[in-house]
Amino acid sequence: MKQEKSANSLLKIREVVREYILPRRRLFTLPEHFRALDGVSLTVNPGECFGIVGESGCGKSTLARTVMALESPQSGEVYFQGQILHSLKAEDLRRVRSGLQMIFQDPYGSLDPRQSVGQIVSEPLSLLGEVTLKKRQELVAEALENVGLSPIEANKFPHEFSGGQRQRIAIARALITRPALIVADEPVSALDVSVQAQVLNLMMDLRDQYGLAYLFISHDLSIVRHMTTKVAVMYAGKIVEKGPTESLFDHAQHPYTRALLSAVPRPDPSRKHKNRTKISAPDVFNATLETKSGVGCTYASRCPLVEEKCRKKSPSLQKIQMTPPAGLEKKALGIAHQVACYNPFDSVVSNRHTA
Amino acid sequence: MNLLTVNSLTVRTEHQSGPINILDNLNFKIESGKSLGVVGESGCGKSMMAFTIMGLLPENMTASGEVLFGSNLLRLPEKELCQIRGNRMGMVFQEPMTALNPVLPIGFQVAESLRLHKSLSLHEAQNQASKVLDRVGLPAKNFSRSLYPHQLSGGQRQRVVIAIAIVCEPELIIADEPTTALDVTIQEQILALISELVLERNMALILITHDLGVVAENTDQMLVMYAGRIVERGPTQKVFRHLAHPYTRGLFASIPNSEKSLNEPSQQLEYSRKKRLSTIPGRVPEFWERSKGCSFADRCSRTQGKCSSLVPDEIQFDTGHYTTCFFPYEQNE
Repeated sequence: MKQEKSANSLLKIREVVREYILPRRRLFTLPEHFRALDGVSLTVNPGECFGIVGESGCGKSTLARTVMALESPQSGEVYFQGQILHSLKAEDLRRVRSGLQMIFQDPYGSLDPRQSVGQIVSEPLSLLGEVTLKKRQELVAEALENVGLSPIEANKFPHEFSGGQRQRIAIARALITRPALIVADEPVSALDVSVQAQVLNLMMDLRDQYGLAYLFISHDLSIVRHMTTKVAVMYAGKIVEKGPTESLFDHAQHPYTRALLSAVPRPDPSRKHKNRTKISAPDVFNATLETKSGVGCTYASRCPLVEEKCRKKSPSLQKIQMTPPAGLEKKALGIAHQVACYNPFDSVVSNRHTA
Repeated sequence: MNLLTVNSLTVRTEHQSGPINILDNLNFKIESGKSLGVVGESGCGKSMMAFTIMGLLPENMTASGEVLFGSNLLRLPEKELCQIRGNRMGMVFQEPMTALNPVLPIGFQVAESLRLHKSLSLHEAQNQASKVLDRVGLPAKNFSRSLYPHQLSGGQRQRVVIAIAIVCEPELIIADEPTTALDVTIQEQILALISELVLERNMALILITHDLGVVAENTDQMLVMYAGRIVERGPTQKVFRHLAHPYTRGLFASIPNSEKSLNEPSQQLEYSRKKRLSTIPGRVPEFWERSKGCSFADRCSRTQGKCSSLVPDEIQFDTGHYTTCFFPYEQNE
């Protein structure tokens, strides 16, 4: 039954909750829980690049780990190619994992310095069971060529490469099992600007060539805008806004998304000393208190538009009625623009006009 | 009146392949109350420049040229440098986690340089430190002065580092990638705080970063470095309006959406296939691989015969706007 429902989507995350138990404050008190993911749902289709943005600590990386089945959720399901990931037996999971690969943030920490590039790149092949040595070498050579390295480099070690080349090796390792989905957790944030562009182009070429899907996690909004077709904005473990990339960036509705967008420094000196939308500092002490009580909108303490009801009941994701951009049917977007806020930007603006 | 003048600053070190220049013939000035942005990729020598000005060069390196800050800092004995460093010059580091001592309370760490440079008593120093912590946004009623760095968030720690840098009321602040480890929203607050302090106390600021957006929004003057040399410098507005050096052009072209602002509606909607980013081919050469001529020659699209054998001189083509290139881009190119 459930398999049919999610048959055409590659990855479907439904109401995932992941809690961590914090160390107890005193010996006889109960330990507190921290919700890193609080009812997150999203769908990634084959060949699609889905972006996740948010500040550090918002649960982006926990989401990535949950998708990779490195963490198991307390409730909710993760379907990958129609199967519930976290109910699989270890052996089946290993097989499924070959369709699911990850690229990490730090190309210096994610490659074993004692293994040659050939060993690093061929390691995921063990998921596929017996592969002959000859076949193995062929696959490594092919993977290295795909990422723009020469097959001769298989005998070198990671320290002989620059940051950008190391990230190419990491991509080759992810690519060798021919995955359907690659989870990229901040794949270019450790790289220089000019090298960043090379790696991003490579990722897009591979998507076109092999129909890969990406779950692209980043804090850099301009890169997310460039790379993705759909985006979800996370705040304190929840998705506060999601939708087609262009719609979300051009018509951001949630006050947090708007604050995030206005905080990005732009290469335009005329903006200097201009009044930008101010975003108040997160008060750590209040924030922890609020997550404990668990009622109301998590953004309420920082929000400039906060009202009484925001503190009482947490808003849920609602579709916004918008005219789709010219020349594009709603269907082509594949996802509705949704926001979890009582005062989305458009309604605030229209209220002001009527008043 | 120039506060700091750097003349033909060169830093050399011995490498197995012979002597190499980490920094090569740097020239620039900075006035009080102004800010200078330094942009470049990792390994271009931005941080080495900061260390040289602060007199913190590693022992195997030698600096020549002039760093005029009252007197030539390169000639001063260590004892006199110690009186300037932290007192008349403050530094904000990239990693607030490693810049602070994890076993000392924040109030003590801020008071430390006051006791050292202004010879105040512990009590007086801590009172004054507390005022500075108030100023950087850590009021005493919420942030006890006996908190330890691990009890603070990244942005709050960076505020402590800034407090340490400004507590002795320096004339110059060097901020080396002060916001790289922080979220965009926190980055905005920290940069606003630094800009405010610079105006309020009429200090000069050297802001080292790799983010062109940060330079655009926070600096008056800028310089672009590549492989140990300054390739372009001038007033920030002018440089952004007219990118003259091929490297600066390449750097700007490789940032996504650099030509369109994030909040402006996009003209072309390309949902199925997005356009490629333009890139600079190749990579930054290592110190020992640098050619005799222009260090950008082998990655440059305008390179010609003399580029790989001769180092171009700095040319001025607009008031205060200089570039080091034989074939710079014209205004409308």
